Amino acid sequence: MKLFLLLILLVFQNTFAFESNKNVAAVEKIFLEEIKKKNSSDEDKFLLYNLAGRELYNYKFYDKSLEYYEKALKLNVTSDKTEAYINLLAIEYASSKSISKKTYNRALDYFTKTKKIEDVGIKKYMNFINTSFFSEGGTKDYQGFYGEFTKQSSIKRLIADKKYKEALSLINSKSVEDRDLSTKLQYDFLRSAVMGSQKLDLACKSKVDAYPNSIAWSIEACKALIKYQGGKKLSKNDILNVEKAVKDQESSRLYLVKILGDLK
Amino acid sequence: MRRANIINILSLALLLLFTSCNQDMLGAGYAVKNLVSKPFQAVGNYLSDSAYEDLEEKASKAPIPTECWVKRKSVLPGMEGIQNITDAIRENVCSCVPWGSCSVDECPCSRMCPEGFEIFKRPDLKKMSDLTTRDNSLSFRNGGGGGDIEATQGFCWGHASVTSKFNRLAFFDENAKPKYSLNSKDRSEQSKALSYYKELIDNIVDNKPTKFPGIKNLRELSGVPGLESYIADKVAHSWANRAMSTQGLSVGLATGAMKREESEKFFKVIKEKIDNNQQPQIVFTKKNKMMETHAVLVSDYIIDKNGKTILCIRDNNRYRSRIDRTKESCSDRMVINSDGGVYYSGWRDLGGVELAFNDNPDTLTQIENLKDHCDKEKGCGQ
Repeated sequence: MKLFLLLILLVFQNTFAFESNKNVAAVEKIFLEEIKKKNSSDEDKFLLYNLAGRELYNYKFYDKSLEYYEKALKLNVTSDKTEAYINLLAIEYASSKSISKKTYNRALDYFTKTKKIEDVGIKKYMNFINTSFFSEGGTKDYQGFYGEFTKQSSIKRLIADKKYKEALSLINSKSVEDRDLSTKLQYDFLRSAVMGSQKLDLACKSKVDAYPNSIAWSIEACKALIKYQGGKKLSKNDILNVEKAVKDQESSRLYLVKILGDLK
Repeated sequence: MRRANIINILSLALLLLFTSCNQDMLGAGYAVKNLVSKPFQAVGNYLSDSAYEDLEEKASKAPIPTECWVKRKSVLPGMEGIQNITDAIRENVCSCVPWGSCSVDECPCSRMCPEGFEIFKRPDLKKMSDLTTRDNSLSFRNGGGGGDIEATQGFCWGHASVTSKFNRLAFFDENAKPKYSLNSKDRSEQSKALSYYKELIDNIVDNKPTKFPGIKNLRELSGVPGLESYIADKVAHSWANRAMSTQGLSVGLATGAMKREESEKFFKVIKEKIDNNQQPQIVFTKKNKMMETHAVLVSDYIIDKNGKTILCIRDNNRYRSRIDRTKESCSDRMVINSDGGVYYSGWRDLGGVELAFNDNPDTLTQIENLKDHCDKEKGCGQ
């Protein structure tokens, strides 16, 4: 009943919390004061920590959200901890663009022990995390909501392993139309690596025509591909120039321009 | 709305009190527990949702006129000819509307920098659906291009979210001189310009109102090489922050058609958001197809001759050249069908359809930040 009354209290208080802003501090204060009260059972505390973790996640206060989910998990309760384990994976990715095996295994242990892994939704989600971040080979699911993320992770891995043909096979040419320049470049790079210099129509070329003087890495990279498709061999300098532009501007794309060195 | 919620909760409590044999209110306790921890059904945001509803209630009590021109205090002398008169009239009135051209002496701050949803209005927009144009959209589409499966590919949720943030928070002014020019022939200045605009883009993604000098609109900004791939990265990252959470996963698992009451409630929420100057983000899953999930913006709604509500969808999978046409004809439509479930043209019958969980928290943060920004800009709130 206490928890119930607290929820009603929160509904009344939250307007104050958001309007006077400094959202985190205000929200946190409401939760902390209630949680500190002696009569709250561990079950109540778990629900409140979970709720605080969720709200803080929604406002992108990831560190604070993590803190509350961890507090929830420390409690020895029988409540469903699925949300906390999944959101801890999401928080780690949001903060570092990566997920560690440790965090993944911790969630997997819980889902295995509680047999929640048999739930098709949990199973799909954990497979998605596994194939996107850890698995080298094996069957991958590129369909549906999480498909594109898994596909992009696979393409990056295949390019790093110089398996260009396999990487290209994952891209539907129709899906490249009207997309952003980096998606077009990925397609052009892979086609050039697999098919060689054949005067291919490059998807990125229209951008070079529109912005001939741009110093952007994407324009430098496309210019190099245009030269290559025009039948000219790329010099060491050409490649170094593109690599330098990528390093200076957007180093996360370095995996892609490494292909230039393999163009024959 | 908030009162209705509280009444509902109190009714639930009373019902449980009288129906439960459990004298220590365990029955009510369990009901609350279910409300709080339903990871794969409806993961609610109690604080942000009710804060949003509170704002909604306030807005309904104090509507603000949509347009207002006031006569300026000074009158220019020496007018000759029609052109001069027209020019003088232009110079002698100012717009006393949200983000209008008046000064604080000419128009009250409460009109120029209003509280709540009115702050989303812009002088150049007659209604929010005017945002559904190619110029106000990202220069690149999300994905799709193949069959049903391809339609769910891409980073739709991120695309919808980033587009909405730019539409609400960015102030483009192509005539203002930027700190560094993207068109400079000096490579070093061009490089500085790229970094400069990337910082401005970061502000938008962080829900901060931001001016973009030297840039005409979102289409132009997001088409600039170097910035295009940067924004595409933001789109992918925003998708991950939403889709990888429990709140995101729960939508992908909602494959059963909604009951009529749920569909009607959803349509009501969306209509109210549109009436309150927003293009809300919604997420849905195809009926009986787990994880065939998509996220879009709702541009507008129309009521047909039979009184049926039709939601007009701004679908990020659409080819950019078709955006304006889609808006004019409301060709991407969502309706409640005869069995009470939701139907979306192109996707047919849908399972779960809901307001994106980030929509209310983002809206609340944006309103607060826009109000602060406007107050500073206009010299209000001192």
